[in-house]
Amino acid sequence: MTDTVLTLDNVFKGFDGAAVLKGISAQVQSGEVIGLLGINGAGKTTLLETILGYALPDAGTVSLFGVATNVLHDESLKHRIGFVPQRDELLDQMTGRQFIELVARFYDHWNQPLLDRLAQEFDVPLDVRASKLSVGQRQKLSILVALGHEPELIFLDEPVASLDPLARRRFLQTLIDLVAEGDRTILFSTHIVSDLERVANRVWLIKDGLLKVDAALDELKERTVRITLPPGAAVSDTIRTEETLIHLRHEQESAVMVFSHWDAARHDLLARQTNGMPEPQHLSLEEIFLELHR
Amino acid sequence: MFSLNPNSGIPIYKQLVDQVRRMIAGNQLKAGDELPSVRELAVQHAVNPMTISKAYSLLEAEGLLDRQRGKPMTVAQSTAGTESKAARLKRLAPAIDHLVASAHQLQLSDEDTLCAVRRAMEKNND
Repeated sequence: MTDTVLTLDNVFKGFDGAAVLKGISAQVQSGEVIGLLGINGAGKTTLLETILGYALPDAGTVSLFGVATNVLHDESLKHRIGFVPQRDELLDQMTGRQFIELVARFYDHWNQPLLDRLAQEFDVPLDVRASKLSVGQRQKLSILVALGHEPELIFLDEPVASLDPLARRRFLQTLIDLVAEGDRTILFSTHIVSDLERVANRVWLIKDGLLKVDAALDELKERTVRITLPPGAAVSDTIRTEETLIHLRHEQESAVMVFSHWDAARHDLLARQTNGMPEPQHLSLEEIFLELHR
Repeated sequence: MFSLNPNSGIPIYKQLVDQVRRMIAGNQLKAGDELPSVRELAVQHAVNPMTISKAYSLLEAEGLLDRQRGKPMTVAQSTAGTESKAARLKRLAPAIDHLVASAHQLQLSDEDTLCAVRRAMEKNND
């Protein structure tokens, strides 16, 4: 039932001799909602643009629906993909309605009633020139435009950065509704971890040019734990060299450890080594993000 | 109906499973009661629909919910409200353990802790 809609195979991309993506491999199945995280400059936008074929990879391949993206002029692909760039591409002198009409001409299929409904839900005035719209309204308008041809695969680069909490919630609910409706696949980058935590079923985290995390969100939360030892308790070398220990620090008298793959065996090991019962604390995605960047 | 906190360390599906289990065990959800649809609950809480269906499927596999094509999920006839007091107490055990550990860390006496628990219960019953 599920099809692979996107395949990245050892993708490298750099600019002016500086490597940004250093060998990224991943697959996306239809129906997934993937949240893309990474600090500023980690390469989120570069990854999205390389996937979309706006930038060609220096090495490796990207395929969308089984077609390599360096041949994205393939008309059939265009109709199946939607993209909301970080900086909108609206034309200042055009009203939203005029701009939508312009874009609609490039597509065989266009769902104007959907856009009219969403414009109302998002509270976007369509008869005002883009130059007169606020940053948030422009962002909402460019999201609308990208949905007109009802793409199966939607890429959004920081879609909610300029939206207020109310508009963000509405936008997320619309996104959920679109996903629930059919086999739509969404890949979006964001700094608002709490939003991603709601709607994504899978998390990608880019760090140092690699996908440091590519995991189902539930699984990531279940296996990542923080353990604080009682004051004074020593950390043995066995624990110190445990391969799933991603961070060790001392806060006051206590050792604080973060493990990436916690399980019963590691629980037993730690219990034996410290003569106590470890109390694993499960972390929110934001805390996991912070721990991975310490 | 449910209280979901997506920004906690507990996966959302688990929160939902635990709440439905408790509500069935406590007879707040009775045999035959309908649950909201996956889409309804997903949109309402702005969470991924797969998360909700995962929770529903687990509860179905446990025999707590019944699924009929094209109809809402319902609380199963066989298990609803039949859990023994002992079984329900067992479900409460992790919360009690946590309370006991916290009270110990705070160096509160047993009497003071029990008093606080009783007050909280009275408040809840009002």
